[in-house]
Amino acid sequence: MEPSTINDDFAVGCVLSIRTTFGEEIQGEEGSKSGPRQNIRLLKANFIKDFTLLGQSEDPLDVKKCVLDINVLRAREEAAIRQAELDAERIGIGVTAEAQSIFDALSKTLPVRWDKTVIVVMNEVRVSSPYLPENVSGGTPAANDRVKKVLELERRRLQVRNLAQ
Amino acid sequence: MILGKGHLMASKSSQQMNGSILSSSNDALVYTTMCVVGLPVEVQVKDGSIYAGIFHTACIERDYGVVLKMARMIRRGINTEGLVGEAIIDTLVVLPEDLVQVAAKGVMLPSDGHPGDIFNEDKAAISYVSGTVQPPNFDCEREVKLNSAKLHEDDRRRSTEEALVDGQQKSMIKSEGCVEAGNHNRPPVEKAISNGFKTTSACPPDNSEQTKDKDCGVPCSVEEASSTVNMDDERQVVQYGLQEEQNASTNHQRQSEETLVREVQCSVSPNMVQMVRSVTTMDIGAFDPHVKPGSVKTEKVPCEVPLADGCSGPSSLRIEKVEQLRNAMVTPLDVPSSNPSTPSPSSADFPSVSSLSSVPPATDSVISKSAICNQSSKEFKLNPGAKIFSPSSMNLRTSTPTVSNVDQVVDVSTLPIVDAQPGVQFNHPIPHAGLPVKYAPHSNLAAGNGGSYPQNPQHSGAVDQDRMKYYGWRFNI
Repeated sequence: MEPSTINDDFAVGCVLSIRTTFGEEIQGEEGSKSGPRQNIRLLKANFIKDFTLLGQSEDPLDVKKCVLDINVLRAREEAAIRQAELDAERIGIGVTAEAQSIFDALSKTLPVRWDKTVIVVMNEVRVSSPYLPENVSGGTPAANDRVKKVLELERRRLQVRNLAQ
Repeated sequence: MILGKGHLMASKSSQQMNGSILSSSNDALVYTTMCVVGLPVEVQVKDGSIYAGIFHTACIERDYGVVLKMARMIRRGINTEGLVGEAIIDTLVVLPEDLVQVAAKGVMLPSDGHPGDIFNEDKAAISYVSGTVQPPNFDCEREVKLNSAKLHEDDRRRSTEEALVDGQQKSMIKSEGCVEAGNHNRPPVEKAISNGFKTTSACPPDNSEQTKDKDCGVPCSVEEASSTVNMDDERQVVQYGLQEEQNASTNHQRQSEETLVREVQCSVSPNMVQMVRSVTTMDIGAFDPHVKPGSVKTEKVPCEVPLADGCSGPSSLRIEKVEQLRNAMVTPLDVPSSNPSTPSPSSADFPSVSSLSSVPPATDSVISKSAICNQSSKEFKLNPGAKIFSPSSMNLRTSTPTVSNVDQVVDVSTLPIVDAQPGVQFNHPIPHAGLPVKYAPHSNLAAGNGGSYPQNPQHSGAVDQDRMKYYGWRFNI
């Protein structure tokens, strides 16, 4: 379908069920929550394989009533980038999924960070691969024991979760 | 095509992409794109890979391309190498030919229920900039459109391709490669946003088709109040604007802003106050590190004006407004004064203003002004007791003393007007360590304080010498 003909067939406000060239189906969610927050999808028309008209509705977007604050957008982006940076620090590079799961589990109760492939807890206790209780080293005896206990609990929990799945 | 809740919100054909007229659907696309900025989105590319990142900017002019920040691959596509979620890409530029779709969740689409209709407020401010210096019958709407068109043209020339998606490129770009977590330099957001958004003109250059509330999706409405400003108010604004330039050279810039606000409030409408105040903030605070911008209400820039001009962003809009105000200050020189207490502005009385008219483009003038501000602040540091005195500025004031800093300003009604003739002794201050350097000779006012001291040449020099001694006494710290 040529883009020009596609555009002629589309009308604002149509409720569509669209299948993309990747096989993905996109359709309206009936009963979706109302309010100003919506899920937006910008889809290029040339990747539409076929579509089905489900109904007609009012245009949910009224450009006449649009208000935007550039400063708010910038602040939002800044905050999102900062959060993404913090989240990026939590992701280990070159570690297994299990190690990442252990890291995430430890981070719930203890301050942790990555030092390459080593999990550093409370800036003193180090947990190296394969992240077993016997691989815990450093720190004070009390901190070391605490990390070992937490690690044992988290590994047990992960095992139960994996078995459940 | 914009889909929300399964509803087709807008569509943009390839034919329209090449057209110069902005359709309402394109407005929706632009608006939606702006609403998504800063939100975590997922972008699918043509090889099937999906990247998650923070929506940074987009190119809408010819085709649709996006730029993500802190992106990472969350789903591998066909024939795609690399581990999912392995590396964080600082800046991911997705070219239009590679982009398939962009999905964002929980997007807030502000409606008129939101407090602070930023669009209409700022559009009104623009209209005031152009309307206050014109006769009441001036076509303010036309001025707004012309300025918008000028803004479009200027920004198209200035726009860079750093964050823009270039439709002519052949392959997807991963700029700056992968980044170690927590260790990267982020380019200025403002620059990226200002350079990233490109679209066709929101306000068509054909002004004949424009109406106040036309259905182009752009609230180009012009407040009618702007056209009702009388000549006195315009002159007041001009005078206060000139006074504002003088105060910009002092170290108490924030206080000057507030003073200006109080002054303006005495004589002009509240809406105009907002405009002048906002421009003042931009004029001074935006470029002076010593002044915290937004000491007064900051100006909020609508998305459609910067987008319409080719994505220059708020920074160019600020420069445009500063230039507007400068033009405003220059324009009404020939307007006769109906207030006998204040001197009639004329070309002879405003030598500095004429020099102001020859000031280089707004950007340079603002930068030079900031240099003056910095210099003045530096000088103030050298001599904390120094005060900046501008005797010629007294001519601009009304009979009512309105400036709170008595040390800096002398009541106009008690002071004579300084002669504009060069070489008069009064031009040189009484030598004193406490007197500010900025007290420049009248003939050099343009080089001294930014050149905005109107003078009345009708008084003799001898009388003025005595009175300048009086000035010296008043400012002898």
